Amino acid sequence: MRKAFTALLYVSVAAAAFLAFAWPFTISRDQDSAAYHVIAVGVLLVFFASLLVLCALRLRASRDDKAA
Amino acid sequence: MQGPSHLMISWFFADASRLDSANERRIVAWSGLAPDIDVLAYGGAILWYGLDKDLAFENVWKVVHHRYTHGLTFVLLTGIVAWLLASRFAMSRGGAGAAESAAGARAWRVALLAMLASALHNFCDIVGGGPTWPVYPLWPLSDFGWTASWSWPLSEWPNTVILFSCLAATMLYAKFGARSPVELFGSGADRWFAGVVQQGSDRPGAAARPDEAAARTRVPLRLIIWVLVVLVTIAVLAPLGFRPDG
Repeated sequence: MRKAFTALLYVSVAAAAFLAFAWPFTISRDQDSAAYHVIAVGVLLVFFASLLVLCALRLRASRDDKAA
Repeated sequence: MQGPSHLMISWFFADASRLDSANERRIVAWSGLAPDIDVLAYGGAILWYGLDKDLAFENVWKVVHHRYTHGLTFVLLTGIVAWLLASRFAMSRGGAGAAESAAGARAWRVALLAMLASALHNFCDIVGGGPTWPVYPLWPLSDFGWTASWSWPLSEWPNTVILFSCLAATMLYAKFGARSPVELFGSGADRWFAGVVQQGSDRPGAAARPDEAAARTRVPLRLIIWVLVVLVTIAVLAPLGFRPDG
């Protein structure tokens, strides 16, 4: 599960970089674009969700280490 | 997004990327805030214009903010600085042969994560920086500014929710993980913070003894920390025109 969420995290960060730097030069410069709106908010939500899960897993691992 | 949000998100990103060294997490987290280094120009301008904030805003902040540090060039620069710092930390740990090559690989990984954190900062500013503050993806090759008309201004509720969520996550990390973004200001500060959050004492390890004195200090210290968190949050949000009543 950790690997899947790690992959999701990096995919969302790569998508964020694309949306910030490449989208206006490769897709569209329309600042009102509904597609950009939906994709950008979606990418942000996926990033936060995967970050939340991975941080929770890290915390659980820390607690298990301390308990052992 | 607010600076503290950028910093905390980058630290959590570094930790989620399984960086076990505090120094490596610091490099990535500060890289995530680095694009906002142009605030120094604003500070300098306020002094230059004799503490006239309006003049400094019109003549400097409106011109420089996002233009020079919110683009691919700055992301690459961040990566180079991060690699140099990570290599230095790796070398100071010593080792030879396989250990040296592993340290080299770690330095490259830290540099890559630092660049991703810096790029993420740009994306977060497009989504949550307001439509009047474009980023300049290809500066100095192009002066094209990119923003979205629907971008949330800094004082909008999504940015506030993100800031409060990061602060809550910081407390949870300190309580359950014995480390938190406070380590960005020094390991001693982080140990103290984790000690207070976990045990209610300002002396790390002191509350391992469950005596009455430690129990008495627990509530006031936590209260003080929460009051400080609220005050810092208000200090961040107040200049942005945030009003709790909407």
